[in-house]
Amino acid sequence: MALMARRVVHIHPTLLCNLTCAHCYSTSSPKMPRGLEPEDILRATAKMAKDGYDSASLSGGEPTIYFGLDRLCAGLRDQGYAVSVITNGLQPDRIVNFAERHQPDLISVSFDGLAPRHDLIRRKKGSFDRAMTTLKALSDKGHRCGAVVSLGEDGMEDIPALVAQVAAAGAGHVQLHPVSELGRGLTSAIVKEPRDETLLRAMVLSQLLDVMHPECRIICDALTGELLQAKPRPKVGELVSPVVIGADGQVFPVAYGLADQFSFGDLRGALAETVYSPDMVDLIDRCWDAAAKREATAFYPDLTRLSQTMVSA
Amino acid sequence: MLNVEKLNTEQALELMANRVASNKISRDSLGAISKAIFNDEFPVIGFDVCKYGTCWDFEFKGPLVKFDLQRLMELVPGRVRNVDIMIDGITDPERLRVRVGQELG
Ligand SMILES: C[S@@+](CC[C@H](N)C(=O)[O-])C[C@H]1O[C@@H](n2cnc3c(N)ncnc32)[C@H](O)[C@@H]1O
Ligand code: SF4
Repeated sequence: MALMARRVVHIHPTLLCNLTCAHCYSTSSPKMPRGLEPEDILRATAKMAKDGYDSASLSGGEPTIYFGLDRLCAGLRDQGYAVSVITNGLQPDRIVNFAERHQPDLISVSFDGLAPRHDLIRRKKGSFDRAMTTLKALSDKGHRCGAVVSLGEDGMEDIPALVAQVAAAGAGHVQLHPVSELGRGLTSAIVKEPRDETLLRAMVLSQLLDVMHPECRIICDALTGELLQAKPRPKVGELVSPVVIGADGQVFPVAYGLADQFSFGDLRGALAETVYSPDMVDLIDRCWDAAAKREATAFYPDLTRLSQTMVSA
Repeated sequence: MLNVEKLNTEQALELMANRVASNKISRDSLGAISKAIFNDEFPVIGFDVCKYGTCWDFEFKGPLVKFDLQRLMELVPGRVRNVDIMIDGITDPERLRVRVGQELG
């Protein structure tokens, strides 16, 4: 789990998407507007590159249908960023063509389980097969690729077979990513945030699978409370990582969906320096203290929720 | 007790992974395994099948005098059957590989 060593800018250039997944934290859909102008994003990332940010990860929305993708990727590269992209893998040809044009440092394809569960959550029949086709095609062309697997309270029994399939398709890494009840995930009837015990099980499982698949690095985005306790906490004035750019242009520290008061501002206006403020450190400290007492934690969903409750309190 | 006598390492791992994934492992075992895996002092660097059941390889970095076997035993899940301590020797005298054979419930 991050609070990361690399200095990462996590960019949501658009919430436009060719799917309407049941769990989507960013509530993306085909009805959303086309998104930010790439030049507006690049002006902000240029400044951040000077501050020491070196890694850009593109999310959304579906980044591979974003109108400004080519300009954004080329610009980020020129600014010295390592560029990674996460995609639903729905359009294999389009995605492989993009990879061939831009040679991103990493492409992750999203999965939510084996075909029946994946197609149910993605709300599209055949989306699992397409994602698998995309992953294999990327790997066959020599691109560094992997899988991000969302993990709810149910469905862990799919994971061993899914990991075997994506590893065989050429994934170099698998990231088990706990579902957070944010956005559409908040009201979804079919996906629930995993309980602590389920997180712990996922952590143990990822270790076992990691030993089983030496060709593929398998990690779980969760920590035991004990391990969290032992980690160094961010301090006031330190550079924030990751910085999260929303499709509305707002720039936030660390997590998607934090309460507005924590925003660094709009990237088209005057942006504050992206360092930890006293308020942000206070928020993280409170969340950290509570999470460290738990058996296991995904941390970020708790942080987002706590920020919202602090504002409404 | 996980019967691993007739299994090779891959099969034992697969069996264990499927049991963890489908919640067929007791709450206590899960707690014990995670305590062993996710500790700060002795990272798990391997897993194998041995004549006693399963073996876990832990790593310890530091001088031998600082190695606390009792502390490691507190972390190991199941009933411990044997312990082998191997010093990396010339390559790295301050790195121990500790293999613990145990039965896992
Ligand atoms: C929001 S999507 C954007 C990129 C692309 N459309 C995709 O699906 O990969 C980024 C990642 O977040 C995951 N995701 C969506 N909603 C989530 C939630 N509520 N909790 C955790 N992960 C979520 C998706 O499965 C995907 O792996
Ligand atoms: S998870 Fe990705 S593919 Fe699904 S709706 Fe959200 S942005 Fe689109």
